[in-house]
Amino acid sequence: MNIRNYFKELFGARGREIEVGLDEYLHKLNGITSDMHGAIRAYLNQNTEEFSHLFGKINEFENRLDTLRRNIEAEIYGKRLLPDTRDDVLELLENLDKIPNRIQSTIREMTLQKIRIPEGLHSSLTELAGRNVQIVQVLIRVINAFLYRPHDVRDGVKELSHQEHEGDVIEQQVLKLIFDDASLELAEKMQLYRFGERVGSICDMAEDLGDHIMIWAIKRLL
Amino acid sequence: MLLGLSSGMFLGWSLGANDASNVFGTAVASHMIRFATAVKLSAVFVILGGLVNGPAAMDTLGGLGQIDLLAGAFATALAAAVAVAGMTWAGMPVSTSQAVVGALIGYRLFQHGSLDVASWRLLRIIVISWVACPILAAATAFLLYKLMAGVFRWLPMPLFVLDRWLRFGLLAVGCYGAWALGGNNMANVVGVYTRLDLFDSVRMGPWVFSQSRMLALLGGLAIALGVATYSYRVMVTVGRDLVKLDAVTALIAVLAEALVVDFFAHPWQLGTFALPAVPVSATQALVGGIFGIALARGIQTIKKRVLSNIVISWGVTPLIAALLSYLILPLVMRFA
Repeated sequence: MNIRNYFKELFGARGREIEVGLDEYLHKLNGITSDMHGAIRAYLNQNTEEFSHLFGKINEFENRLDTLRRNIEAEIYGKRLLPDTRDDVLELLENLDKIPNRIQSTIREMTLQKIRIPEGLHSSLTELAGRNVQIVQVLIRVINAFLYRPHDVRDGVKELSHQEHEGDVIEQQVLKLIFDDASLELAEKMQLYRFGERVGSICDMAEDLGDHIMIWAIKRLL
Repeated sequence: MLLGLSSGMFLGWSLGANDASNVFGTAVASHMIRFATAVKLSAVFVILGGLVNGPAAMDTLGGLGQIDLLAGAFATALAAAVAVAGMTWAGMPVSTSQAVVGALIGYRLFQHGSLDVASWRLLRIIVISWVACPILAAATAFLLYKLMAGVFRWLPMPLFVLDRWLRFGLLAVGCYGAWALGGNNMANVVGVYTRLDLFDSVRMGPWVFSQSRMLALLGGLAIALGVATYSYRVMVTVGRDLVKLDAVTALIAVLAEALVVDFFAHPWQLGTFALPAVPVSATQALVGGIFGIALARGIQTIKKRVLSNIVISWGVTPLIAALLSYLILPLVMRFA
């Protein structure tokens, strides 16, 4: 890179493309998590049409998020960022990408396996999926803090940790209800157990990523 | 005359090959700027620094060696160059500044049998400056770290803004480091020729282009050649080590090094004490800077090997160079 291009990139508007891409990614991530919540609700209410519509949206969102991630990564490699910034943002994206993947695979399993969910689990499962929406929103706030207001990361991570704990409580409740239900076969219990764990895993992913972000932020505050 | 200047130019080439890595290593190793860009910036700022500030330290070495024969200057620079090359080959720590001073002492002992009182005094000041250099760099880096930590606490910056400023900072500090290196270490390359009458001054309008500046220009070109032809590997190696420190730390270490090297490129009047411009080791200043940051972070240990390498360099390098100078001089003088 010659020195003129270096300064052009350093202070020009082109360097903001990564930020714009990340903003869009986070916006879509929020959307796909809400759709997961909606899809689980529709499945439990046996609203097939709504479920299919939301499942289609989730697939579409996941594809768009993948494309967006690849574009941001290409942008990062082309922009000659500091190795520290580059590595942290790439790791952030790679970890973040696990969330839409998990959402898509969980809903796909639901529809493939035609999981039979007893009535007694409905409210707890809906609550767990709702908790995912909340925790992803907090995670997005933490990521935005990391990108724009590093001092706010600590509070955001505390909130994430709190939300994850709440999620854990609901998840345990779901798992307990599954094994307490005498009407279910063992195979069904195992199938539901896996499903419940996968829905609850979004909270764990968000908390793990929050811990990484905390370290990246502290590192930059000296 | 060309042959007489060649050993100094060789010394300049080896200085460029080794020491430029300290200032642009981070930027090149992290692919922020191309090696070719680093070469151009190093060349420009080393030459400018040498032209503007170089003559002060050149006078100091000129006064210490008092060389009045081109053959003597050639042999002295050759002894220093051989000492640097030999010690580098043997994997020993070496500083060009310390090798040149040693070679000058060898010349004085060969020509005059001993050093006069003024030269002893000057030598004492030079050695104290060498010892003070990494200590000052450590103190400067310590303060800079605390200052930057305070700034980051009060003025937290968005990630990509911080990245942009750090990248700009590394580039700017690299240019300043090259300027400081040129101003301070140019004396190592051409200081032995200062007392000779090699070039007539050239007047260009209000400016007089003196012999010192012509020598600095030549030395700068030799350093630039060293940077362009042989510094890539060292730059990437040193740069990667620095990058491991993270960008802020690398920036502070290089800035502390540049400030201290630049400080010693100027003569100072501290009350009644006159401190002449003294060529110091840029690498030792950098090591001092890194140590200062470690202290600021609360790490109070330093690898004993790093410390002993520096102390060895203070003592062994000048001794070897002085001995080589003393041995080479009779051979060169015979053919002069």
